Amino acid sequence: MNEKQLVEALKRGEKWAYEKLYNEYASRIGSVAKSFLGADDVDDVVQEVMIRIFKGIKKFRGDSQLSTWIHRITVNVCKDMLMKYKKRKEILTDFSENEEGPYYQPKAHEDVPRDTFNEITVEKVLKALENLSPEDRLLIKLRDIDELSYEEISRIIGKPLGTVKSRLHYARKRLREMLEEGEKNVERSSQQDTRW
Amino acid sequence: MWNDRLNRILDGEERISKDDENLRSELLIYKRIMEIYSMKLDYRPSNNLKDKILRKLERRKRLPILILSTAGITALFLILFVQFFFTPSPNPSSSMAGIPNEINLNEKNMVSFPNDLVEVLKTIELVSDGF
Repeated sequence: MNEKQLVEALKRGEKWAYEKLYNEYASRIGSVAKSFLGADDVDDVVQEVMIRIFKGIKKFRGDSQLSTWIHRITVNVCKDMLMKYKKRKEILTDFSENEEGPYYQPKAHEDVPRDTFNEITVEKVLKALENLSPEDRLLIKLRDIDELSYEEISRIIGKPLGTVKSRLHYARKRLREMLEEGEKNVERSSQQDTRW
Repeated sequence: MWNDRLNRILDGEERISKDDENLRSELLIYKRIMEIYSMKLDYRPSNNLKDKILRKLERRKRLPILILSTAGITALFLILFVQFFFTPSPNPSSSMAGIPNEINLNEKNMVSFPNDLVEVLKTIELVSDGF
């Protein structure tokens, strides 16, 4: 089954089409929501995105890929959620909570120098990511994890290509700087500990 | 440490030379960061959520039909209500009594039509024929 057939079935409101859509896209929607909101509870986002797809699929003309359209809806839902959360003054970011453990310890590459690899801990990375803005986290996720093209990202977030590119370059740099700052802070605090 | 070259390499616009150790090390660090981030973003949707969403969508699909049928039934009841309670109906006693009375009156008139009057009318007819 190709994308066009799936879209047609979605337009007709066929149950199996929505089931297929959920199976294919729910994990991607959840992942984007996690990167943007920084929260683990993303079920509400997935549900809202599916409902918006149901409501808006008749207007989908196929100018862009279905995945791009769904990504765009997801980002819009996340923005709405963020606004809602801000109004409620809820703390969203939980990057540093309960993240250490065997599950988050990636396997070391053989060609990576041991000392360089060891200085990057999960805790530090998550802390640095937490300090990035939601948009920057999303850009890094879309480009460096999902490996989407700049054109696609531009369509998803609704910003010009040049803006996306410069913003991502800045976000990468900022992430690296924050990690370095974190390392320095750790070194400083360990020196203070030894003084005491 | 971070510079434009790293961005270009990450975007696939430039290739890294084997002897550039600093860049290689930076790239490996970045790769490691992305591995951790990727694991952090891992999301496995549950079947319960799928069932819940599909139920909701099914309900939404049926919603227009439900609204239309509810509106139709309500309109029907409203029309019936207005007809029963607000439309003025003719008084059954007066109408029942009135119609036969008129008939009776006509019958009476026909029966009691005076013979003299008939004679007068005949005379008028004769006179008018003469003219």
